[in-house]
Amino acid sequence: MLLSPQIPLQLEPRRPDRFEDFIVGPNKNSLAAVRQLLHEPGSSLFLSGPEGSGKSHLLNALCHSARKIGLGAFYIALKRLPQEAAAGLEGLQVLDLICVDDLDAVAGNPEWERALFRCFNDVRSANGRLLVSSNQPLSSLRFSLPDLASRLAWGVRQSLQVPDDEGKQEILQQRARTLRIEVPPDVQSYLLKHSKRDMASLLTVLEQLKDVAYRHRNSV
Amino acid sequence: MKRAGHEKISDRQTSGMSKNYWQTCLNHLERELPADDFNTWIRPLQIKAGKGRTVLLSPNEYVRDYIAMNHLERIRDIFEHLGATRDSVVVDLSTHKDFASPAPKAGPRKTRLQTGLDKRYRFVNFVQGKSNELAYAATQQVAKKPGAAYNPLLLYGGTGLGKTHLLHAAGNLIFKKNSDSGVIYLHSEQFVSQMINALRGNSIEAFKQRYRTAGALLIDDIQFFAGKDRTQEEFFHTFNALLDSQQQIILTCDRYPKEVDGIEARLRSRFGWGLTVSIEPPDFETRVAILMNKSQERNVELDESVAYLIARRIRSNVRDLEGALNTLFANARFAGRPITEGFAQEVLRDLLLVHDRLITIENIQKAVAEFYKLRVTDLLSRRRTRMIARPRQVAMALSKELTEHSLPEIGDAFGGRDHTTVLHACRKIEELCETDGRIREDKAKLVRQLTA
Repeated sequence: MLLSPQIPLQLEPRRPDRFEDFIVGPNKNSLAAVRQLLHEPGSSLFLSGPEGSGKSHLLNALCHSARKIGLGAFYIALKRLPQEAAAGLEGLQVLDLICVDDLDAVAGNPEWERALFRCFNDVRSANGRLLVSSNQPLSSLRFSLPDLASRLAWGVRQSLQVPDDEGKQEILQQRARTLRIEVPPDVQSYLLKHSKRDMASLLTVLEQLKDVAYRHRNSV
Repeated sequence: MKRAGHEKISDRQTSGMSKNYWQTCLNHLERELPADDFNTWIRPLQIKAGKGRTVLLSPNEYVRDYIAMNHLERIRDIFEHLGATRDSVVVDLSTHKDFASPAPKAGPRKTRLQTGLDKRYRFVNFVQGKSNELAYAATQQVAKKPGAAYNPLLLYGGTGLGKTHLLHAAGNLIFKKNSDSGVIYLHSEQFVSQMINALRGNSIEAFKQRYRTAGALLIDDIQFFAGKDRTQEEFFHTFNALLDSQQQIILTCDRYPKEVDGIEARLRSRFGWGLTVSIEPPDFETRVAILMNKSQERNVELDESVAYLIARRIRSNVRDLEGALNTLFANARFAGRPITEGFAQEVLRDLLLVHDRLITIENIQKAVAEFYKLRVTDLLSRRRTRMIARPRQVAMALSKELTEHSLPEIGDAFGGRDHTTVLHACRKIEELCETDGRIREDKAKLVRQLTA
């Protein structure tokens, strides 16, 4: 017991990737389509949108909601995985929901495509649900296995729009609240004018601000 | 008796305790790990607790090994800190039972495990048209008299044209007429992976037995056998055993089987022993019928003008058509708007654009020239040798079929020809398609290529 390592105190709040943290903005239909998967076994959804439009957020939010109602769910972010991880897709059809993030990262890679093709077939025949995201629309992805595109073309397709500056500000504000820091409007508009304006970069800056704020125990 | 009861309670207590530990552990890991890592690896783990042990269940071997290698130590640290022993935390594979949600999925699965058939696909909900009527008729005949008509029956055609539908429909009919018929449906990749697992687990005899004694064997997408010598060898014997005992075999392939590289000659020749039928992309009328039919199945009233709009623009395959309908219906429902032509155009903009953009007269000329090993300038030239004239006519016919251009426009694009020349070309090709298998094949291949 004495030797056990120090566990840091739980200072930081949870990561906000639930549905209630999602700023709808122009994406009302896409959000509805994502949620609908919970109620439709055997359905699939292809979600495209540029960086920072909220794809990963929605995929994780859906997994979370699915688990809350007792469904087995699996989230996999393809862009972070090495080639050999393709084997990790085997046998997933025992779950009720598979969420595959960043399909674009592996388009054109025959091994991944084969593994995904198998996985999608298995999920479909087991009446499972499938949510796939990509930063480009399905038709722009260059697959080496046309069957894969064709399987995905079957389901519903939605594209996410990036929020405008006002929407971004709203998201920053909301995220700041969940991080329990205060970011005054002038700082927000400063960020929007001076830092990289895609949502992912903005949120990273916000995280950094939070770290500084926590260290100095004051507001930004 | 008393003792047992006591143990039960304490078991439940430890189980509750380790669930709390796991929750605490999750809270820590969520903050320590990058979001993607946490979501990919940690979240899907399920926990089984009892008898002083906590088992983290992973959905497959890869996840299990990954956790053991990268995260288990940290998880044990946290459990230890909370008062459990390190060894009490292990990671293991989950079984179906651990993961499956209680009731809903169990029902249909049972029969599925035996036959692999999907009950949703039947002959009655297959939309027939010129492009698939032969395949439809042959499959139905085979299903009515398995082993007696054509054996093997091989359906081939591009992706999303209904091969799998017919395969399941045949299986379902065979099963319906005799549930002891021993019909098995599977995708070729499943055949491969089951065989690998059987070899690994020393159960290859059982594997052979299962397939060589099937009452009817339906295998989808046999092009995936290409290059897999060991699988082909086994499939060859399965094939012979089934034919010998007059059990029906139905196969599908995404192209003419003789064109698949990496398949042994003896298998290829056997594929041709029975009947080989192609399925072509649906023509305009069939596309409209499919759209209307699918809408009706889902109790949505689809205006004909909307069906025409989609059918005119999406020509590639049935799956794309269904996908367009799915997207359209979902958006209409979420937006609470009626399905009009304008709404369809708005919602399906991306889908329709793509199909428009890809097919131009120029693209067609390029594809046709390449296909017949000519230059585009040959097609546009005045030369009238058969070697050039026929491909030129094919290109013109395709331009009429696949684009919205008028006949004079098409004539212009082909080196300034008269519109009557275009019309003649279209009629000629249509006629040849009825009588000349090669031209029909060529044209079908080009359509597939252009609309893929």
